Amino acid sequence: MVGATTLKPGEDTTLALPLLMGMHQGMEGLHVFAVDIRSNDPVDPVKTLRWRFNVKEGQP
Amino acid sequence: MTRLILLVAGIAALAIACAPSAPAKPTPTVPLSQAKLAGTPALAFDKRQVDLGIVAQDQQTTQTFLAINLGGGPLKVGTVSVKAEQGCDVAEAFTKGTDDLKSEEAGLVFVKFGPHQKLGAHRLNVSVASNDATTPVANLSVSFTVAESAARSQAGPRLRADKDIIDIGTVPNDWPFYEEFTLRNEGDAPLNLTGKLEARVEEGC
Repeated sequence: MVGATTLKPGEDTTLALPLLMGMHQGMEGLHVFAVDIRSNDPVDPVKTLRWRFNVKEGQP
Repeated sequence: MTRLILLVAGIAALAIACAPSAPAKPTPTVPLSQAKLAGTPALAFDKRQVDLGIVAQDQQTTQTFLAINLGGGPLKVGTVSVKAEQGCDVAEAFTKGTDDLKSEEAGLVFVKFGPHQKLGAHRLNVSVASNDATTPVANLSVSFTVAESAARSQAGPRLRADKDIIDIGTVPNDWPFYEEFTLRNEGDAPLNLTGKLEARVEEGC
């Protein structure tokens, strides 16, 4: 992460995950990507977000 | 409302960057289609359905769909409407950068919903109108199960995400896709996002 991001009470921010080239051939199968969000939240200092998809060969 | 964008530059690089403004319009690499050769617009999406698993009753969520012009002519996305096919949620939809998409350009369709009136399984149908003559109205869906909200203290900084998991089902090779999570401070003190943000592979290659 470049620098620290601070959110005031009530503020929000967007975490964007672009995968615009997609998954190439040979990468078929179930995939789960996870992003750990670390913060000074005293109750939940590490929050994990997950992105799940199953790659199959062929056109949509 | 502060809206910062944290961009994961690519899973291959597992890198993340922080930018103070909205991301550039995504321009995916997409295969040629017959519509492209014919010079007509053709609307495609990064995914047709999304399952968000369990969401809390008091949770507000925004789900994103990447709208792509696979055709050769300019694409104009029209009205986007949302209807609850299961459950009784009220949802709203809006778009960004979809007014005039040239060939291989992409914009975003957002669906915003919650808090929820009822518990249990929900499915929203999203209808997207466009000048794609082959499919003038495309249908997308968002599924989730609403559970009772857990008691949450608002003392101190409190991080909350608009969803914990996004499951987009089956996708083909070499197909662009894009997701967003909204992170919100629901506490009464400043929240600092710290450390290095990295996407890691839990399953798959």
